[in-house]
Amino acid sequence: MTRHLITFGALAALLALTTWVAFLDLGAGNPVLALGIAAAKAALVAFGFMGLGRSAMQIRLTGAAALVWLAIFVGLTLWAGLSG
Amino acid sequence: MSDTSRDSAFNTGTEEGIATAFGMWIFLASEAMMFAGLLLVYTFGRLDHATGFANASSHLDWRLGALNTAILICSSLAIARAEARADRADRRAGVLLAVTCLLGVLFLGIKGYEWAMELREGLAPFAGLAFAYDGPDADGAAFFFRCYFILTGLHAAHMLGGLACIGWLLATWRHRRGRADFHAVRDLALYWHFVDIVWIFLYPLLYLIAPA
Repeated sequence: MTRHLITFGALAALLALTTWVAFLDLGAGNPVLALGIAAAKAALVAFGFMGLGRSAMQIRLTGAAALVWLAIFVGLTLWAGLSG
Repeated sequence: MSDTSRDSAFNTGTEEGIATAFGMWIFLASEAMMFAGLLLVYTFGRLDHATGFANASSHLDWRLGALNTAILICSSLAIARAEARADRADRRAGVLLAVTCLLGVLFLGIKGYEWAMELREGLAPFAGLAFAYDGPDADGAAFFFRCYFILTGLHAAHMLGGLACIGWLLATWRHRRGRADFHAVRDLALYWHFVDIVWIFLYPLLYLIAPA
């Protein structure tokens, strides 16, 4: 119960934060900050609500593998699209 | 030793629980790849059409986006608590599933209201509809709105799928008694939280580029 409520409170606070910083003119910092906060919220949901940290080893490995494949997919596509 | 009380390929309910959760995580990983591909299309569009994307985004109502984000966070809390109760074979988990369902319907209602407004304002550049946007970089704005409708539409389709599954769970609720009968609640909760995570990224990327 406590873990769920703390996760919920942190998600609500980060929702307010991401909305507030969108109104500040930070240049290239705006999308970086927006994605950083979104990633933090996603991690809160994965660990606080989905219980990823307390899951069986093969499930934690699946989560980690998904992140690695995503990093390869997104990283290589951005590199190919933005270089040259 | 096999459990003869249930028709299952697994020796114990615990084994079955781990296997179904494992399958759900693999499914969610494949879903993440699909949404990541679409978000990459969005990223290249935004890099090529910074002005069009910013102006088009300012036509969206960030208050409704924020409200829907809050609703989804509440629904994630509700289904997380439903899962905790189901894990103890507490049948009152059904009430929290119904709350999750109501919040999901509310989210889709607000989303539908937004889509109706955008269609009325001529901001849907597909299916032969006239695109009435009159700001700078119309091509970029059209690209933004196509990304917007594809991403929010696909997300809403996932919400509908989740709601259908919750509806099925509630319809068969009276037959569920033991802990193993409630694994579906945990697997459905995993799916629902994933759909929440997708929206967590869509909200700033679509609504907060240049909020008005």
